[in-house]
Amino acid sequence: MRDAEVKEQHKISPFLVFYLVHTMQVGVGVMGFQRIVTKEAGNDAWISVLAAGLSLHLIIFLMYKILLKENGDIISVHKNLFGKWLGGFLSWILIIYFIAMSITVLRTYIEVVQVWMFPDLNKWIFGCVFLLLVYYCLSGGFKVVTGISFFGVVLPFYLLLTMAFPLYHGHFRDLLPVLNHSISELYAGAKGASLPYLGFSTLLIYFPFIKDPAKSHRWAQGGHLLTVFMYVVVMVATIAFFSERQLEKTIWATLTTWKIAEMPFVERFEYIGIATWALVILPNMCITVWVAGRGIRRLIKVKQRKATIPILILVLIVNGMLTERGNIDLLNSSISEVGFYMTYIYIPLLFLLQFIVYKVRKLQ
Amino acid sequence: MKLPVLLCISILLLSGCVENSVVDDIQMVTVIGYEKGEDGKIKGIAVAPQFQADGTIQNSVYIEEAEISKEIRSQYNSESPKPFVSGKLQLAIYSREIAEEDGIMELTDTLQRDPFIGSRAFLAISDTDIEKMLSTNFGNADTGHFLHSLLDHNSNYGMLPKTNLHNFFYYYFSEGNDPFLPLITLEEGKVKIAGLALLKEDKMVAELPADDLFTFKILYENFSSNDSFTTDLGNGDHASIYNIASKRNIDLKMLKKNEITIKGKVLGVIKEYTGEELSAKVIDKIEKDMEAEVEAKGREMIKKFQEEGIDPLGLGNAVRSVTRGKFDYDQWKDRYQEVDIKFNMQVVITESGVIE
Amino acid sequence: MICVFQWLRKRQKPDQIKNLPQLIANLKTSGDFLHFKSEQTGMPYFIYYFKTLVNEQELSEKILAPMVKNKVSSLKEVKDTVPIPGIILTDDLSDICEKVMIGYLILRFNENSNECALIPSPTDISRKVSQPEVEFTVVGSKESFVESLDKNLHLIRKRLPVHELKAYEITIGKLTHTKVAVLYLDGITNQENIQIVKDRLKGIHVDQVVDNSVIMQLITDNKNSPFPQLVDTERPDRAASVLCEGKIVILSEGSPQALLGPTTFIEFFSAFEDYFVNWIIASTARLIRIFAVLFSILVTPLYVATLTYHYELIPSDLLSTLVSSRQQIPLPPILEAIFLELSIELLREAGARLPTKVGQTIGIVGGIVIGTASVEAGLTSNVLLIIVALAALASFTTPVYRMGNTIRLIRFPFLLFAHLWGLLGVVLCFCFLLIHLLRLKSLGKPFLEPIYPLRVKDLKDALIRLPNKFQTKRPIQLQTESTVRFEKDKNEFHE
Repeated sequence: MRDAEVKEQHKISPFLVFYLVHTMQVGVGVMGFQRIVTKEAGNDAWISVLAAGLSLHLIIFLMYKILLKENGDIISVHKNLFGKWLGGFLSWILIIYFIAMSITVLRTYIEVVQVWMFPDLNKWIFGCVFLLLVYYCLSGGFKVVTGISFFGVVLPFYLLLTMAFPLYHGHFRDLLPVLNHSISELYAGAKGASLPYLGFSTLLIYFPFIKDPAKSHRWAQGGHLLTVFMYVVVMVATIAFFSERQLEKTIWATLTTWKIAEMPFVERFEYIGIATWALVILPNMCITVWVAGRGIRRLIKVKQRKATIPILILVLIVNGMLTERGNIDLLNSSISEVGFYMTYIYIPLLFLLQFIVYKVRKLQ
Repeated sequence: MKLPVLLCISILLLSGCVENSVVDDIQMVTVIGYEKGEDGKIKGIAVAPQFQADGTIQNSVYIEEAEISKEIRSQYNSESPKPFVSGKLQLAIYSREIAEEDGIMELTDTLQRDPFIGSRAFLAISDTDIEKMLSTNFGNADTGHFLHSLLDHNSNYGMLPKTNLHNFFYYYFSEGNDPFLPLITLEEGKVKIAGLALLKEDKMVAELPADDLFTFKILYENFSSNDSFTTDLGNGDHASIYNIASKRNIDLKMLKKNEITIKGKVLGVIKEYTGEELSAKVIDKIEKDMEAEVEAKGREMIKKFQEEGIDPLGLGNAVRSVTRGKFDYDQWKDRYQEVDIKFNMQVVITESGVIE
Repeated sequence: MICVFQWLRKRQKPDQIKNLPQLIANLKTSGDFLHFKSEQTGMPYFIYYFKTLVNEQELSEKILAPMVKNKVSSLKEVKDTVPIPGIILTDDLSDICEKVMIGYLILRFNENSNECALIPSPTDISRKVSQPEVEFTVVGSKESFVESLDKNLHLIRKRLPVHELKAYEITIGKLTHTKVAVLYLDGITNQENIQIVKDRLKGIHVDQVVDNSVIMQLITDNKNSPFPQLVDTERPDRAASVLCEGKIVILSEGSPQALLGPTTFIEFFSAFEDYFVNWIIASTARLIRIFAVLFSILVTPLYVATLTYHYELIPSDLLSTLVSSRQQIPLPPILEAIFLELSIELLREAGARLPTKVGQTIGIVGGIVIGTASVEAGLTSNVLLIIVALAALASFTTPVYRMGNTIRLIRFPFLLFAHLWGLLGVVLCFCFLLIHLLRLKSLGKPFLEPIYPLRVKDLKDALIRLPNKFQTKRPIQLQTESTVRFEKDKNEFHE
């Protein structure tokens, strides 16, 4: 386990986990998750969003329990519990999941740009430039990745203020009656709502890079809490702003709400919003690709740089080949599905298994 | 190292560029109007301002006829030296004929689908000939911006209820509401707000005259306005109030007894009084008279809505918001016409100007 | 350290020179090398020196006069009688060669032996301490560094009369033999930082070091970055002040600039005058400068992006102004912008190269005549002219000259990206810039501190400057050995 160790100078302060967790959650999902939730939970969608968010606090807690017990990353946990082959297999699945996630993020963002700004944007060239940016960031090491996550949270934060516009134009009666949906509807909504929350599972890999990891736990929870708060605000604003059937037809509800924003010096805020969103997407890409590269480095003994470049090329190629909206949607929903089960089922199972294995080993 | 970098940059610049729309090389359509043409075709009238270097603005009017609205657009392009763009569309006008007979949804769908069109654009229905209206020059101004400002300030500070593209779709898709749009006319070279067109689904079924806008606005939303409202006090005296702030409240407590009460409360300042002395008693009378007048108008209006089966006040949505369980709109639509909708007004005069 | 010197000595001693007479014969080939024999004392003696390096008045008054008076007859007696400290008796050829080149004179009695006395008597031809020109402040000290290392050291020592102030000296440059001094406060400055600076200075192997700027480029962390990673100042008070903070100051012979490090990005936007005025005014000034930088970098690219792609963003009221100003211009916004930006750069460059008085004229002529003419000729729009001029003005607010140059340079990639993908391009370019800044280090310390890594305590003197009572601790970034600057409670007036 020698290569699992991380040099002290590469480690980050515990409070930066706040930004890492938060920035990974806020990505392309928040641009249009509302439709999926309201389809099930109607005007109670915000309750689903809140419930899904709160339930994930528990999952983060479990993650920390697993990782702190192992004092290493998920790859060590896998190896420890399942042995080299099965453990390695599970780790590879995880890595593929992260790569797929980065493809989804990039392709969805390009789609948004194509639909809203530049219909003839060349996705190869844009993808190339964007991935160059990612590579430039990654070659600076994990500290730079964390830095860009920090700015990816702080700089676009002003976008939350723009939610004042839909709130101002909103019909708050639409939120009533509260809790008018059955538990099963709320659950279905919560399942849809949990999708934009996913992504914090990258924590499983970069965990050893945290200085004093036990201390970082509350920061991770805090980062997640901020996401919950943001999503609830966005959800409430959306419910009030759109009528239910109108929302059903709106693919990117958040972007549509920006259309109503108007300031003395600028009209049509969505263009600024979409452009600024590049700053939100960038850390997403950086973290997922970094995590995938790190995972590969841990599994087969190659330098991380050598693992990263093929990943970036793969992302570029797959990104270029996905053309239709249907395919992108399919990718999005399948990634979400996998993420959902991984978070809600695999993590608790892993926790139980680790608990039992450690108990048994102790007895022996 | 340098060569690949240069190569990359040149490739970027050569092929990475997206189709640009430099402000002075495009035709920004600011108003578009739809009328019925010949043989069931649609006539589309588009106005694009031409900003001259000396600061004057001329408006180019393009008129085309086609089967569907999409075709009209490509025909415009064949006529114009610069490509047409829709991002600055401020207003779409439909003729009364189209609104009453065909419904406007078919023509508005493109406005909703096109991401380049802002949500703050207005929709309006014209009582008079649109071609004539849009060919008129309103001073050194871009027609679209002029008409947009006209509607905008009237809905922000005047008696016109707030409408825009987003609002229209909100109401159109919401089952407990019916949309309405401003009704405009061209009179002696000036555009005037003639009232409101009330729509059922996307078809115009009734209208409210401009005089009733104040009452409608009290029934419809909370607002504050700089416009004044005048009432006849009998015996030849008039009083008008301004700086009006109004609050509306829908009381649904008696819903079980099939009764809905809309309460309006208006605060205002006396601006003009033709009588002799403005005593407390007179103020009291003004308040009472105004209340009676608005209440009478409002009740009549509500009755009309119920007869037509339209719900521009959003009572359906209000009832839904207090009903637990799945709300059955069909059942509500039947019930709507029977519900006893009451309207109570309260006028409070806070000041009587700077003189006693 | 020692090995460098040995290496230098080995290099400078020509192989064929085996003894002193040969060395002197070699030196005589220079026209300003003087030599004479004197027999006024009992024993005849020989004196050799460079007349351009030696203070000849001192030679006659302090050296020759006492020697004649006391009838000196041996080297040892010379050392005792001549009232100049630092006389060396030696027969080491390389030492002799080295010393004679920095203003020592050689004195010997025996023409054939290597034994001689080296008497220091250097002339000091350097400018007087004068007013700072680049960092002039209305209030505060009017002294600035000059081209003499000793004077510069004096200027700092005068301000910090404590024995903790250490000056580590090193000579670099194969030919220039530039003396470089690394100044720090013992017990305050982080030892690791000092070691980094020392190591990097020792690692310099070039033939000439003509200025501190050369050193700066050679020891800077990322040499391929347009951003300066060390602050340079001509103000001794600023140098003394940052020493107290725990930073390191590098001075070198012949350079009127001191290098300060480790520094941060934000420090480039703080003028030293900020400490002379009330904290509210200072903070406002800093915020204005930061805003000016952002404005200067972003405003032209935003103009290009908006006018090329995002006409939707322009408010309707502004639209007619913008469109009519561009109506007769045949160039696309990008070319229009590049044309104007380049003209401003030309004006600046011409102004910088020409003598002050002519430069001013060029500025006015260029600014007014070319600007007006190009608008009238329909080459540029007057709106853009205003924007570009304001952006240029804003770039000059940066207190550190080098940073101002960088700011003006990085506008061009932004322009290209703005032309490519509009606002999206501007944001992407901003991301590049951000990552670049994140990767930068100043003497191994993060460059973007205290913003990232976020150190709230260091924000007390970054974007804004808080009043004195908040400045009790030294910056965390410098990891000083003693963190407390002063105790708050003891300052009664800080209540």
